[in-house]
Parts: sequence; C-alpha cells; structure tokens
Amino acid sequence: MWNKCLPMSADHETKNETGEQQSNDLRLNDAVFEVIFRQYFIPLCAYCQYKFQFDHDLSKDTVQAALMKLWETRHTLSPGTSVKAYLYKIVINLSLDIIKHEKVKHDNSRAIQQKITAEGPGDGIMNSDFRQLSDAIDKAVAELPESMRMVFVLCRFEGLKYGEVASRLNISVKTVETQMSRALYKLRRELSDYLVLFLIIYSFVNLFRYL
Amino acid sequence: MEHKQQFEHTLIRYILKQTSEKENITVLDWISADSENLLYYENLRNILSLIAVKKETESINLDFEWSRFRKSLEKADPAPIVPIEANMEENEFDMPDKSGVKFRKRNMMRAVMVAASLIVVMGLLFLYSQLNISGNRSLSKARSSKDNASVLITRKNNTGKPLEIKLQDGSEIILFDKAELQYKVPFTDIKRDIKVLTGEASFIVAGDVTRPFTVYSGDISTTALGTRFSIANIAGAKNIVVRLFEGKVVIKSNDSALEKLDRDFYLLPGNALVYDRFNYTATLVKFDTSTLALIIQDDNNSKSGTNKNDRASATTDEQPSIPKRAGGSWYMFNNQSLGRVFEQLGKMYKVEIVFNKADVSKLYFIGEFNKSDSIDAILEQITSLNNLKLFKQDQKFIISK
Repeated sequence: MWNKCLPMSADHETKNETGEQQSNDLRLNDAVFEVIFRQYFIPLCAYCQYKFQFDHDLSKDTVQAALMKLWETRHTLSPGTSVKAYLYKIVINLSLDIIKHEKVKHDNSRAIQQKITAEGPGDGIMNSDFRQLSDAIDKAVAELPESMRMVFVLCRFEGLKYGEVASRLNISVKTVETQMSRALYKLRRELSDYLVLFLIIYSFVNLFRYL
Repeated sequence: MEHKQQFEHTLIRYILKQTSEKENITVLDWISADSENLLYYENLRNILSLIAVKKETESINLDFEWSRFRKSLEKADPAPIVPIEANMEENEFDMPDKSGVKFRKRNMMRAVMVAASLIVVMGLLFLYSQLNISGNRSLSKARSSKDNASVLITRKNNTGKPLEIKLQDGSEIILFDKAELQYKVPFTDIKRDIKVLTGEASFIVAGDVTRPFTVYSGDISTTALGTRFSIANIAGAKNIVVRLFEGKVVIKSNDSALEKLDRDFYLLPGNALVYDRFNYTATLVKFDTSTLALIIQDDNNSKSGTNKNDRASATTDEQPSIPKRAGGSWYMFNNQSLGRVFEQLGKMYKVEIVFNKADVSKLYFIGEFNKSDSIDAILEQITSLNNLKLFKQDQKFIISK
C-alpha cells in the first residue's frame, strides 16, 4: 500500500475565484495528484497542440511526460507555488526541447518556427479560460448557419477536399469556398477574444486588424 | 487584402494538408515574403487550429490516460498509486473526487452532445440535399420529401399586368403576363431556387451570400447573389434572354450531364445573355437599360456619326468574358432607331423589309454584323432579340410585334 501521505498544510485545497481546485501546497497527497492529473490533462494537451502545433498524439505524449515530471518533483516544490503554472512551464520546456531537436515535422518555414518562443506565467490564462473557451467554441460553431457549418465540418474534420464537399452537399466548389471563407470570418469574429488571449504571448497586437 | 483573400483557399488547403509539394513551396514562399503574410497565415491557422484542437482534445479519455500514466509510473517506481476511490477512506481529510468525476461526466456528455448534434445536422443536410437537386426533379418527388416544412408553389400570372411577388428572403419578383414560376417556400438553408417555367420575370435578389439565388429556365440556370436581373423564357421563342441590371450573375447549363453551354457566363450590369435554345449557342450582348433593346457588341467604326463608339470599345475591354468575333468587315449601327436600321439593311441587301413603325418606334440598335452574314440571319437575330416576329414572303421580310 502506498501510504506516503505527507502532511498537507492547512490551505492544501484552496479554490481560486473561478472555483477551480488549486493546491498551493505541492507536497501532494497522491489522491490529489490524480485530481490534478484529471483537471489539467486536457487543457494542457490543447495548449500544447495549439501553441506548438503538435499533432494530437505528440501533445498527449508531451503532457504525459510533463505530469510525470511533476510527480517526480512534487516534493521539491516550495509551498505557495501554483501547480498550474508549474505544469505549463514543464510543458513549454518539453515542447521546446522537442522542437529544438527537430523531432517534430513542423511548418518548414524558419519564419514560423522563430515565432514560437517560451513565455512566462501569462500562459496560465489558458487553463482558467479553458472551459469558457470550450463553450465559446461550441457556441460559435453551433451558431454558424447550417450550410456553413456543414462545409466547415466536412473540410476541417472529415478532411474532405473542396470538390468532395461540393459533391457531397450538391453545391458548387465556388459555394464551398465562399461558405468556408464566411465560416472562418464568423468564427474569427466570435472567438476573437480567445484568439487574442492566446496570442498575447506572441505579442501580436497587429492581429486585431485581421479579426 | 484582396491578394491575401485569393490565396486564402490555398492556405486553407495547406493547413489541412491537402496541397501538393509544389503548392507547399509556393505557400512557404508567400509566407516568408512578407511579415503581413506570415501574420495572415498564422491567424488563419490559429482559427482552424483552435477549433480542431478543441474537438480533438475533447475526445481524450481521461481514464485511459490516467491508467497509462500509472503504468509508466509502475515502470519507474514499483509501488503503484492507489486509485482515488479506494484511497478515500484512508485519508485524513475528505477528498471527494467531485471535480474529476464531474469533469469526466461533463466531458462525456459534451462529447455525446457534439456527436448527437453532428448526426442530426448531417441527417438534416442529407435530407435537404435530396430536396434541392436541380430543378429537373418532378413535383411529386419534391412533395413526398420528409421535409414537410417546405412547400412547392407555382405562380402563374393571368392578370394581364405584371404581377409583383415578394419572397420570404426579401427578394422580389415581377412576373409578367402569362408567365409561370415555381419555387419552394421557404427556401432552404443553402440555396434559393426558382424555376421559370415559361414567360418573363424580373428579379430583385436580396443579398445573402450564404445562399445563392438560382433561377432555372429551360436549359440554363442563372445564379445571383444580390442583384437585379430579368429572364425571358418565352415558350416557342427561339431565345432565352437574361438581362442583368445590377449586381452580378453567373449563367450555367441547367443540366450538367448534358452541358448545353460550353462554359459559364458571368454577366456584369448592362450585359445580357442570349441563349439560342435550338442551336444551343449563347451570346453575350449589351442591352440598353432604358429601352431593354439588345445590342450586339461592336468594336468598329462606320456608318453612324454619334460618339458612342469610344464608350463601346472601352467597355469591350472591361468585359473579358465577351467572345471575340473573328475578323471580317462589319457594318455598324450606332444607336439608330430600329426602323432606320431596317431601312438601311433593306437598301444594303436589296430586299424589302416591311415593318410597322409603331412596333419598332421605341427600339434602338447599337451593333454590328458581318457583311457576309445573310440578311435572313441578321433579321432573325435582331427580331428575336427584341421579341419581334419575322415572316418571309418571297423576297419580302415582314416584321411585326
């Protein structure tokens, strides 16, 4: 039996304003670790995938590795450290390592690669807004007119080419293009807040122009 | 910005990994060429990525991932982590796995909801696609569809006067006397289709870029996005004529299996398409927006003295889609009244052309034709374009309304 239950400090389980569980004391009880795992795994994957443009499996591997690192170092963390921030830091470092060692087939452009840099605690925003973002995305996609949504879904998720979408929906390729553009335009507008939030780490304030 | 928008679909395909090696190189060159391009690309990629990421990560099975984690832990450290449920009793503090379970449940619920809604959406769209296959479908098929929210309406105008019809989307139709139309109420989500069975109608199409407005008339279909145009599909007449007043339309073959038009025609305001339904030919011409008389395109100067010539040639350049005529010597009439045109033609070809001045009084003609054209052909063209009748009696041509 794993009985290494280390004493938790009095405020081991404080909830922040958003009601999320955050442990300020990192001398974790193992039970707490599983909670943390389940709480942060998905947002971390999303973050990894989105920011570093990793594919789905690679981001899962990376997050697994990050959580492993957290587990290994959990006793060494000073009290008052945010688990969330720490986890993100690990994910960033691991991801950058992967990119550096070119273990990833990235966008081949240098220009694009150079843009990906590590940033500080600002990344923590992702988790606190993840559920909000998730809902916002669902809403934005659901609010697309049916035809636009169908075109978007077929292109983006079923990987159909424009021609295939056109014959599937019995419309012209031109219409598919139009619908796709319109869908992206609408989604961009609806999700501009989140896009901007995410991209704040890139300091791309210019992007307001495109939204 | 236009430059980027043209490229947008290539970029989209690049992001979706549907591009060829060659295209990849083009895209990367474009991206590296300008920092604005890079930003544009990233913006596009981000929005596509954001939604994809969200959907993909939703499908993550936390139980699986947790057990995977535990397995790797076991390899590193032989003592396993006790699963939270079993551990609960032994803890000094009560740590219910609320958030974990909730998260899991919420995750699954959301996944189920997304899957369910996608299925519903696909089902609906499948139904719609069955309904909206082009106008050749018979009435009964349309009626027997499961989508009983949509009714097929046939309107015929027997009032002797033009009839105004207002559609649900804000579009307006002016149905001329004896004309007949068919359309669904309401229009579907992805298109607005109307069939002009016979006669002539004018359309003012309310702008809706998500739903093209298509009018089917015989062999051809005219699609508009926010536009004013008219279609004349008169039974027995040689030609189907589409005139464009405002906006933009594209005219295609109605039945893609038997392509009667060898290409699509894009009309700009002031243009008309004359489709000869017996010879299966289509000609782009201009028309006078006040008199509605059709004009055959010209680029030569000759008989007449007015200055419309420059304008006419200038506009030829603006309309790249107008087919170029082979060389030849041409006659040109420049905004002559049709009566005078007939008089002159009669003299040129030494034939007698009889017409009623009243019939042709309001019709003017700007156009040219090849000297080698037969007078029969020329008169036939002019009269059919202007909805006049032509009779030939020996060497006499009789033109009437």
